[in-house]
Amino acid sequence: MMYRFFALVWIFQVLLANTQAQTNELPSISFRDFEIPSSPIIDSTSHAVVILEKGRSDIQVDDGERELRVIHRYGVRIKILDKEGFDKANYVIPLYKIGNKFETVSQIRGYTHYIDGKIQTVEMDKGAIFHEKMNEFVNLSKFTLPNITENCIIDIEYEIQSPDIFNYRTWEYQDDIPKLYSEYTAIIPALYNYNVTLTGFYKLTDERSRLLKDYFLLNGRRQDCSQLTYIMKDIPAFHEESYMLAPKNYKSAINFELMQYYSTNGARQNLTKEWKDVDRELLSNRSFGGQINRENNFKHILPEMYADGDSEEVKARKIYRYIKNQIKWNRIYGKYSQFGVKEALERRNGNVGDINLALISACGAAGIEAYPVLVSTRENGLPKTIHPVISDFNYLVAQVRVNGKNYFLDASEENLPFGLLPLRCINGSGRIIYSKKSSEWIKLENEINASTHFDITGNIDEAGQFKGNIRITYQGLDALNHRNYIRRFSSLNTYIEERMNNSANMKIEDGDIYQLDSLDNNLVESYEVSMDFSDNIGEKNFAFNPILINRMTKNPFNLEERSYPVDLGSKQKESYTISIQLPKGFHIERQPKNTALALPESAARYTYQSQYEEGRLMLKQELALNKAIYEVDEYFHLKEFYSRIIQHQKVDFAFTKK
Amino acid sequence: MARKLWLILVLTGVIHLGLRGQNMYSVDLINAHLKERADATVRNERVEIDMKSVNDVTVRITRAVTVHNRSGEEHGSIELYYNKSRKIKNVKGEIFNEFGVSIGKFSLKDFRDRSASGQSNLYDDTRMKDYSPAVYNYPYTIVYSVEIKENQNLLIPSWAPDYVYDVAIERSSYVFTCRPTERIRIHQQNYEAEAVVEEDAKTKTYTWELKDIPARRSEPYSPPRDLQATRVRIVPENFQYFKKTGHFKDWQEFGKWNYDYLLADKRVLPEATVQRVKELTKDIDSPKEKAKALYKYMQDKTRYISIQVGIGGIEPFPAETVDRLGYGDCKALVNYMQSLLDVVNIPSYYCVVEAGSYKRDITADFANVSDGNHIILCIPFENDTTWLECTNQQIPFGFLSDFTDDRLVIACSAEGGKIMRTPKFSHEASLQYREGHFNILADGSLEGRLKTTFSGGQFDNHYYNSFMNQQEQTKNAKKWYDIDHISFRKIDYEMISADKDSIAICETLDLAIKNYVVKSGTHAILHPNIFNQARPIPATRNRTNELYINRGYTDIDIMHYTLPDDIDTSTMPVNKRLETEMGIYELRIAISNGILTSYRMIQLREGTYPQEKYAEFYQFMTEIYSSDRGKYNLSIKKDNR
Repeated sequence: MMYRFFALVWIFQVLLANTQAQTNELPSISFRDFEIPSSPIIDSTSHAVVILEKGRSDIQVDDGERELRVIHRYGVRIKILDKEGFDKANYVIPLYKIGNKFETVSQIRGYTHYIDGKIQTVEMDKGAIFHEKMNEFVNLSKFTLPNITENCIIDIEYEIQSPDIFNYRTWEYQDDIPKLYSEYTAIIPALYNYNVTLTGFYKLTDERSRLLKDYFLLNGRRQDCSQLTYIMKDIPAFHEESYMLAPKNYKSAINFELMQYYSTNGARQNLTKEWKDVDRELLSNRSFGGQINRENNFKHILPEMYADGDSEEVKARKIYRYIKNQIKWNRIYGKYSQFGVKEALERRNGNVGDINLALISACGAAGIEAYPVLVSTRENGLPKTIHPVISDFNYLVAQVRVNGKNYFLDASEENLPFGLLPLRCINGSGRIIYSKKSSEWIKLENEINASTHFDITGNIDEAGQFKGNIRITYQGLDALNHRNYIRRFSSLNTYIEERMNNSANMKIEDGDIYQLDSLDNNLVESYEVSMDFSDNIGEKNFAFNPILINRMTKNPFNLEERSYPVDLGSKQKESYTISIQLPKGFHIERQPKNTALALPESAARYTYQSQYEEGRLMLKQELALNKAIYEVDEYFHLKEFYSRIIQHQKVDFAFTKK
Repeated sequence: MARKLWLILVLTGVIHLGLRGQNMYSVDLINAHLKERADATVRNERVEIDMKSVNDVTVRITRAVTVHNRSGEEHGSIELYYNKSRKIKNVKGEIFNEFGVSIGKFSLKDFRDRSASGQSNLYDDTRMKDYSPAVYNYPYTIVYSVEIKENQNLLIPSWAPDYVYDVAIERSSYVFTCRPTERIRIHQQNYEAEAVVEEDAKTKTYTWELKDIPARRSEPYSPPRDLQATRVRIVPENFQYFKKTGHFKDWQEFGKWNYDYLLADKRVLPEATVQRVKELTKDIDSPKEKAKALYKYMQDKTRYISIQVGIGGIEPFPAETVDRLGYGDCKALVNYMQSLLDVVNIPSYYCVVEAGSYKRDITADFANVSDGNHIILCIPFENDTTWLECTNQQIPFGFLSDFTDDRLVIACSAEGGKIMRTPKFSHEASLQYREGHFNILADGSLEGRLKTTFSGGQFDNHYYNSFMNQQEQTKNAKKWYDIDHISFRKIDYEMISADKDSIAICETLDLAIKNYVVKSGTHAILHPNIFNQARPIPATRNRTNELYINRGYTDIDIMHYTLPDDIDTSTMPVNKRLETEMGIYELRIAISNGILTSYRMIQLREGTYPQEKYAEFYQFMTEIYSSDRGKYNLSIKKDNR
């Protein structure tokens, strides 16, 4: 996409510019600024507060380079309230590589104001700014301001020159410290038509627009510009909570997307289009559709992958396994192919795009229906669904259809079974692209729940020694997580040894792992264990808790206030089946009550049922979270629900001998 | 005829090489005991240093490493640091599969280049080039050679072949070459033999070699690896470093050089600051109180920012710069504090220390610049040597924390270098004493006050929380006292003593725990010890390392629970005491006058114990783990059931 934009710039044949550099001056400082403003957004967690923040983006013609660029001017005034807020005086400006050029920064200025009888102002030395090449894509300009004390005020100003003229930067109103005033002005040539969207909970305080007549000279012709100003006041700090989707889904920000522009001959060019345009564009793109069509990459290797007599489903499974083994993921996301399917197969290494496009292409070659699905990963935020925004997507998976059944496939993750999506892909909906003419939204979720089951059997002898077996079965994402964990060990033996070493008061005598490589089956761990209950056993009585492992003692939902929904990524289940033989002669004296707890509409369920017969204690416990996402008002239900379970698990079984 | 022979020779040569090439790195050739437990095996490693002069040192490293599995990947990747005095000249490498067949080559252009600043530094002018082979079929072997040019000879790369855990060594050697006249100092650790020395008219070569070392695994509570591993270090007596020349052969001379070349001219303060210091201290008589006032002045005025530029990160910014900017790194801040003390004629030492929770001494018998990663300040008051950490704005005067406590440091001053030891708190003095008084309400909830005094080495367990606002204090308290349904009504901190020898702070929490006591029919269940529960430690079977306890301490937790009237108070008391050489544990629970009291005490003694002791220690800690989580079943009086 990017490269095409540059090509357009050249067609414009930019000649001259007129805009005058102007600094984004912050108002002069006064004593009033030093009074801690009383505002509801400044609370006891605030260590610093933005008094004022202003940004302005303006298109300019770079005379030397004879091309357009965007100038982003920025100025911020921050009051530092206490020592914890000193970090705000350490500033990093990231500069990205756009095409083959880096953004640049200039006019960096920093001032520290403090009161020492009168207002003192110290300017940052130019030498205090460090420019660092972080890696091949990002440069950093770093600095820290001088003379930082509690209650000082800092001013930071700079200007970024960006070659990325088609994407105005997102202006983020909300940050980890509160802001009293934040203003952004975009000056946009009337030739361009942007779609401006506001995300987050808070509304704009004010919004102004003005026409700048003949503001800008392009192609020898004066062009009008719109000056758009967006102001938000009193923006609270953003605090991240556990089990939430990416903060960027909730933070207040204003986004600009170029929808269309008029070329100088008056022709309208649409950029943000309808899905059918996007579908066509993607499937014609060399790094996308171009990679799917290369079925001849696979024609000659198909016989290696499967036998002719295999059913469609078996073929799909074998192709999936083949691609996984052939191309290792280089840990880079992407909806486009990085190297191209052919090269990725040769170097046996590629990004997500390479791998899953290869998978789709191979399925196509084998005559299996397979489609690309555009995904935005969890940390990348939810994609906009009102109209197509290609840049929202950063990942690609496949969906195959065999025997009338659909399966999501992602061949990048070594331990992922056929038909499961990794957690990073479970983020709202993805866009499945069927053809150059058709695509639709598709919910990204796993059919198989994440579950862990504990099966405990054994005997306790007269001396209080437990001997038995614990078998743990993992399914869905639980199996994936656990397989990934086991794979981190150099061998199965070292993993089992680690388990033996870290089992606290339980002694693991021997262990085995089943179906570690058989990804389409559950992962099973089985341990021979012994445990000492001699302290619990008396001549006449005995008390113990049969939930020998993973007993719940901490509440994962312990907040007093909750602002954002809880997103677990999948439905979850944890269950126990326990059967323990006790020494002869014991009768049950008291026991935890058989219980069934449920949240409204069965959003979560907990059951606990025990039975004692002929010296054998049998117990079934099940905890099911039947939703992947819980709304804010359900948070406290969950909290109380877990609390009750913790209470319940505190109670022992007690036995006596007559 | 002659020509033909030549051809044959070449041919056999090729065949010979070809065979060699194929077999040399075959994984089959590794001895079984060098594969056992090893994530990687160093097949052959040679670190060669050729010191032509003080500013012309060539380092050549050739290395062949077989990576056996995914955990071994890090041992197959290459990281090369460079800066103004260190240039990477050349890198060549090749990767072989399991059978020793070449599957790819690489060179410097395949390396990624990035800044070595990381997160903690604002700036560091060192950069790094790194390379990780994209090979995912194990085992594979990476073979490479690197040539590095140094225009300094103060930091000669040392040799520590078996430092890393889980790596076996077939063969590793270290070769140092210099002119026969060059005086060098050598430090050998855990290397039994002497270096093999060869000398001719122009060069003198020292060679160390290690062969056939099986992989070692890391075990919990092990002594620091750097004392266990083989290590050879070399420091030339005459050196050049970032264009400064110098000479030292012991710590005394090191300290002198450090002072004269890096510190001496950096303690000049602007006149205004000098006046300010005089003003601040004019009404104070005792030097110690003066130092205290100046320490506070320094803490209020400055903050810690790490900037590593210039002379290899060992030369501080001048005091004047810190005075103007209000920030600096550890060197600059210590130097600044010294300049403030100069004004009131209090002598002080600039001390190089190896900081970190693991205690590490500087090498007492071997002066070198690579020991130490931090600077602290020592004020030699008579019979009251005082140490200052200058990078922390909140730490009390004279308190060092576990970051720099109890270890040898080198104190630098105009008189030269002097080895000193930083203070330590005994396991008795590092006391966390906690006492709680709670009422148990009819519904099983608990309410009351928990007071904890942290002293000695445990002083700063929660100290930083006292600077937080209420919301964060609550958040931290929830983390430390992670009990379901706990809520805090009040959180308060009070300094008991700010004196470095008796330092202590008291935390008071007014708290409630809903549904704390669970009723089940005729019984009520109470967990008496909830605020301090020992974590389990891993059992290590076939232990190979000694047992090492880095820091001793004592924790006492006394909880009083006033029971509701319906509880039958005639219950069996608990009286448990465990004692080992490594520590003591006591748990006593009894009821009197309707109050259940639980007394829990744990004391660990620091030290190094023979490896066999680990089993006993494991047993001890595991029993504590269980006892700490014990419940107390109380029967409910008949008429209240």
